[in-house]
Amino acid sequence: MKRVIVAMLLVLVWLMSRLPVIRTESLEAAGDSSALAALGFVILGGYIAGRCFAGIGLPQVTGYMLTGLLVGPYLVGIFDQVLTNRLKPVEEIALVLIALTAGGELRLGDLRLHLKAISAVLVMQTLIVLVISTAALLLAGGWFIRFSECLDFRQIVIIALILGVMTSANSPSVAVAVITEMKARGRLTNLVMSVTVAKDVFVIILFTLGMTLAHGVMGGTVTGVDHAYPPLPLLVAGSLLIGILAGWLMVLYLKYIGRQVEIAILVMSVVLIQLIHITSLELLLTAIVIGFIIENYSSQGPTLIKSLERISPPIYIIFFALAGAGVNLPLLLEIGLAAVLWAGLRALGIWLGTSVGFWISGEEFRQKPSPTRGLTWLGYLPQAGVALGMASLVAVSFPGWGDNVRTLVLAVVAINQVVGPVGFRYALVKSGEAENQDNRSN
Amino acid sequence: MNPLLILALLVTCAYLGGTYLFSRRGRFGFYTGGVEFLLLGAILSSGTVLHLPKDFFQDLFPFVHIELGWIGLLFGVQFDRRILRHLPAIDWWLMWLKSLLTIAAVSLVGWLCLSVCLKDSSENLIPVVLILAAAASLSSSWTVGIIYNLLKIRTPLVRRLFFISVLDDAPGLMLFSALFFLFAGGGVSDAVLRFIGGSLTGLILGSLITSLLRGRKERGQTLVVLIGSVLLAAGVAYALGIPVIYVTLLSGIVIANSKPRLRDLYPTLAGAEHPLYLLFLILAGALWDPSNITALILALILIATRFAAKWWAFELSKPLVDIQGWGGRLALALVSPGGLTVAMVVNFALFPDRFPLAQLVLDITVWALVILNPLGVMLAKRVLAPVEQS
Repeated sequence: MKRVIVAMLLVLVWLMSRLPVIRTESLEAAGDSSALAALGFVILGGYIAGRCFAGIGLPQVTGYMLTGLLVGPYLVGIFDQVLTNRLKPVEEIALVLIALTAGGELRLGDLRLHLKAISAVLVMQTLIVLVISTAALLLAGGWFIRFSECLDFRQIVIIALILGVMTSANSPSVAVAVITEMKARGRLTNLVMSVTVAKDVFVIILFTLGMTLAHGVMGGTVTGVDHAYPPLPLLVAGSLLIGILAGWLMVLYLKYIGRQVEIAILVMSVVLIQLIHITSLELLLTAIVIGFIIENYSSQGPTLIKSLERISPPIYIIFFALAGAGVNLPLLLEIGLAAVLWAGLRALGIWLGTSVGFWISGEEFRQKPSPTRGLTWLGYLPQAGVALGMASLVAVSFPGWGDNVRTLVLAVVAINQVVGPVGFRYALVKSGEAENQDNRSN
Repeated sequence: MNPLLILALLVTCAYLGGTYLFSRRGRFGFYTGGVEFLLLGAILSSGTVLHLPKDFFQDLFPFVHIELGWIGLLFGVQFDRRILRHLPAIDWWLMWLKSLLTIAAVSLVGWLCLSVCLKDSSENLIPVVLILAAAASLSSSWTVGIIYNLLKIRTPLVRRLFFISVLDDAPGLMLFSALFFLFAGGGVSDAVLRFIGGSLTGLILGSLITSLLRGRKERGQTLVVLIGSVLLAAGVAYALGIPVIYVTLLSGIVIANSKPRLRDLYPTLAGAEHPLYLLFLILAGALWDPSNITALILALILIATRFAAKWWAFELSKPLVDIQGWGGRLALALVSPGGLTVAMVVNFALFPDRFPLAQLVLDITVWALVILNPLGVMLAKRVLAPVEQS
């Protein structure tokens, strides 16, 4: 029965997407109606796909993304570019909610306990991925990236460094989504969250340095870069300051008003997004700080997390469906083999970096036998927004090789979007940290 | 400053102001049911305080469709036949009597007034008058709800009145849907097609929601399914030119009568409606033209007519109801219109080329709400409190 209803809905929406102006007053109204119906269909479709995926032991996030891919511009075409642009505010609000959750999951006590491991894994992962990227590009650069211009050794090294930084980036959004879905708690969860969030900041810093270096050596253009970062210290300090202020304001609201928390969170998200647009600061970092302040410097953390859990599911579906719809399928098919190989090299670098990091800190071997041993690296596979943003910046700044680098990054991110959540879910289940090991029963 | 930011800040200010200055608990004797947001919308759209871009409110219209769908669903899930069949037959008769009397009286007075005001007695007035009548036949259960829940006046009379205030929306909604199908342009065959399309969509969505939510407990998952369904219904209804309230109302009725009963659905729906409802009221306020004095005069006349019709209905039913305090004065408790009334007329106002006088209907209805809503609880308390004391 459920299948029949879903099939009927599919036909209904498909007809609507094909004949939007039949009974509407204007093209604008047709656009609105199609957008509403498409959004509704994606939420329902994503939900059903998520349940089906959970039923076969895969993360729901992957189901949402594949729904987005299915209805995206390269297949069914319900989610077109116009609709994607109109949903930009939803995407940004989702990012804030994800970052708030990420910040709320970072507990000062856990951070102190694992500080050595976190820093060692963070540094070693980035370093080893950078080394592997540079080596691969020097040995077989032409196979991964078709350079049109003639580049010397120094220039290739710089490109490799920039590509390496982008390659090592993780995805806090996917990590948060999988952790929330699995209701995971424990050492592996803490380590993955902490390193992923810290790496987000670390990678932005390295990327800014890399870009400065590249501009010095290769020139390039900075015109047309819409979201150029302010000077690095200002970026970090400004984001921290706004995050702390907003965090305390939120604490005061939760403590003294404490009503309609969901509305307050949404309003705060909208205000924060506008503020970040004006100041060009880092949205993710700011929102993470807000969540961190609420969790660690007040007793309102559980209220925040509960409210976030209530409002975030529909927004998550739209966010990840949009991410799926953004996967450039023809491009992925065109450079598929190179992208798969690069994603493999990235996974190798992450595994090596994690293992070396744990070995240096002695964390993994402190308790024997550790249920998380050999699994933590899987949590660092997901990759999404940050890498895509940086790739776009490279393409705009360095037309030519920048476009080719972006192409490779887009394809690699597409692979990691699908593979990453699956790997992380497996790690959480295997380590016993997932409360929702079989969420078919929910 | 970004308009979205302005709206976000204003919603916060209006919410906090409404909660802490006037308070839903009637700190100064007023119980605001959202009038503050209607006024905020009117002030914003007038451009006197802030100059917002012209298309600012138009960009937010999809939210109106979503809210209309949500209201329909919220209303529909209350029609559970397993509960309704326990109601005394006299309540059903009273519901029909009260609604039909109101519809007849408001239609007649409305037609006379509009003919004089607009110097037009053509058949263009018929849909307008009937929309007004359908809107006037609805009563706000919110007022009686406040009396019961917040003021703790829990007599059999209040309980009975609450059920009647919920039930008596049904005839008005039926008339509203019929008007939409009949007067939305095209011939009878188009109206029939619209009716079939709308009904099928409502039934399918209702079945889908029921099958997806069966056995689910988490509020987040329930919200996902509800939001997805309402968006889909709103899009389909908008595209087909049918009222979204009708589509989701049907879905709600299907859900309410499914087996096993989805018990936690109503609280989830009601709880999540708040932000949408606030936005909806702001947009309704933005559509409202408070400078239309004709609308104000007509609103006052129609309030009086509406009250008289309800008073008469209660008086007529007096010999049949064996409850102390039953009588015409109970009409005071049900005189305040609610959000559903505004939702209904906004639905027409969204299609101005099909319903040319929809703006006038909207102005009249919003005036009535602005006048009566803050007084609604006070009036109801006057009627219901002495009975409790005696």
